[in-house]
Amino acid sequence: MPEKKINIEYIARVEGESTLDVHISKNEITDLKLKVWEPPRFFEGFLVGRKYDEISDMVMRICGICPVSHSTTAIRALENAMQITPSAQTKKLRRLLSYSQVMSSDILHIYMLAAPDFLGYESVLAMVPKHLDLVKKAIKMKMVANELTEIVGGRAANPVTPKINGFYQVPSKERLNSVKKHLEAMQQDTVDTLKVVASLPIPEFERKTEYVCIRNPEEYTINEGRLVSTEGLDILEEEYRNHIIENQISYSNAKQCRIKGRGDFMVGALARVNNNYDLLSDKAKEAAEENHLKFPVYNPFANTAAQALEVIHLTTRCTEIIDEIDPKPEDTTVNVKAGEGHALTEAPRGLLYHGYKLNEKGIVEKAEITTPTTHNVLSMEQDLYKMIPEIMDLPEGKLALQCEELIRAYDPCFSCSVHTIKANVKKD
Amino acid sequence: MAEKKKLGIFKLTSCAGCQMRLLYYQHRELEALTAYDITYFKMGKRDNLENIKVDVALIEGCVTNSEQIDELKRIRENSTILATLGGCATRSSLWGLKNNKPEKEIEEKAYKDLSTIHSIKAIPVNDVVKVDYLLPGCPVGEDEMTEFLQSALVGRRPFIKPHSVCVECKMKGNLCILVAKKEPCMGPVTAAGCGALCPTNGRPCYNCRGPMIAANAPALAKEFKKNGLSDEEIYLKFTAFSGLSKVYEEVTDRA
Repeated sequence: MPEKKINIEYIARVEGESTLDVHISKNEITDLKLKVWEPPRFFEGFLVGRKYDEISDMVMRICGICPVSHSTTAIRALENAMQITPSAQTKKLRRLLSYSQVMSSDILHIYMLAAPDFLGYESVLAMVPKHLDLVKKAIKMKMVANELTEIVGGRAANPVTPKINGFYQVPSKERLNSVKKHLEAMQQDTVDTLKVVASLPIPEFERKTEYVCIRNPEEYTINEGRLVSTEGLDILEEEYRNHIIENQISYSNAKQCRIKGRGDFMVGALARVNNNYDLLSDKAKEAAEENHLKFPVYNPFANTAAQALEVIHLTTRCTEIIDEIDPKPEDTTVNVKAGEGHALTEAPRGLLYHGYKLNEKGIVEKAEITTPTTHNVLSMEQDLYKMIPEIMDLPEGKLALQCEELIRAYDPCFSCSVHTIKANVKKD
Repeated sequence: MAEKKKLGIFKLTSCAGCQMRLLYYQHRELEALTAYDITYFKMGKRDNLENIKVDVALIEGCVTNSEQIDELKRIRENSTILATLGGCATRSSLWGLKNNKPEKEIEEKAYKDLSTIHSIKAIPVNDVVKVDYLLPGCPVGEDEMTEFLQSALVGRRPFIKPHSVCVECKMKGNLCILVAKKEPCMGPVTAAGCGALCPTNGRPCYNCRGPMIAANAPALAKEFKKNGLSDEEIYLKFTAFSGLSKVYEEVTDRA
């Protein structure tokens, strides 16, 4: 009913801030829109004309939360464009960098977002008086993850060492060993975290969508692999654009994605665990069994448990990788040539795509970027369409809160998810 | 006990990285922050008070639509001290790159249908309202943030480093990569505060903190040219993160 439509406050202050508008009339949803109002910044426009060696530093500024993902994805896409194969050492250091960022981001989402939601607090600060130990544990784990990012990347926020075909400077074995001790010391905390998360009550809801992520049979992968799904998708990263379609929608600054010939899909930790459970460490699998978690799971609220589970695995993997390497300076020369390159990685919130076309001087002629939240927006809407009729009898306030919680469970870009999603649910 | 000073942290167009760092990488900052009553910080808390007077307002991001201009003016009216939080607010940083070309040309590369996209040129906060302090950084570092928060608390003028990254680099005892390795380091014209992070990590400074006041851009451009950089490469170096700053005008003005 257009005349009953809720007026939307123009919100441009918080990155990725979204508004959810739902209108219900005679127990039926007559309107449902998830609107993302973050002002557009036109990266794909202004990157054109810039030089290949500037791109990583620039795209880190897409997101203050996952700069490592944008840097790694851009670097890999540009390497693919110039047919560069980085060394084994470079690949391992990149893994440390990416794993540390996924850990850090997952921990943030679990404790700063999900925990307050499920325990009934307005923010993590409000939890401090009653749950100080829990908050302290979270900060400690976060600090260790950040320490690893900083040792490999030079700085935890917007790292400075990554470059095409390697690193400007590699970390010393001594520094890696010192952070390894901290990683080992936090191992038990990661197991405890899953226990806490698994004990939190989550809404009963299921919708079987398609879960999409990258897969590498040798590693629970974050940085490279084939694009797979629970419905049989299995393609090379350069085929991404032939299978995933992006549409602009009139009511939002975020585009929506669907799989060609099918429809919406979900990306993120739950998609990774649903597809790659077999590749998790024994310790992570044991912890999952102890907490009676069985994957695949089709409840998006279980995304938080999937995050806790992968943190257990990644913590172990980082210590193993540190044991495998003794970083030495390498030749990182780049032979510039024209070409087109694509790359897919797993950002903390899910699948991230970058594609570039370079001319013979290494100048960008075309840039394409699709972020995890763009991949997820349609799936969030579809979940809401299914969930709302199931909980229609709840009072308006509670109904709105559960809608918010559903969106937060997806861990959409952190800033848009922490207490900035406004759900306007109106019943006639 | 005396009432705490009120602090509001606001966001315009940015990556949220400065707020993010403020929130979660805190050590000494935490102490300075808890001395304030934080009345507005959407990224950190749910209960935020709009349109109330604050003692200190921090603005992250630059203006890229007209609604933000109104918002910024409201914040200015309501605040005693207003400071920028990072490069985007200070000089529009990376988003200023949109201004170097016709808007339509840039916009249609990102969106097919421009009829629903509302965006204007990227404008730094300083060009819209009076700013008391400009805090550079991408993101703003812990030391400079703590210095600002403590100063504003006691009513003293914060010390914002007026010199270039070179000074910090020398204090670290680094070998000068511009002189010794002929690498195109932007350190001599870049605002200090990062502790010469890039040269310390084996790479030339790429100017993410933007221009130092009174930088001698033409002299550095000449040095780059001597070291074999083309005019186009020099232009790219000086435009990447400097946004709408006039400091490099002599090098970047192509008209």
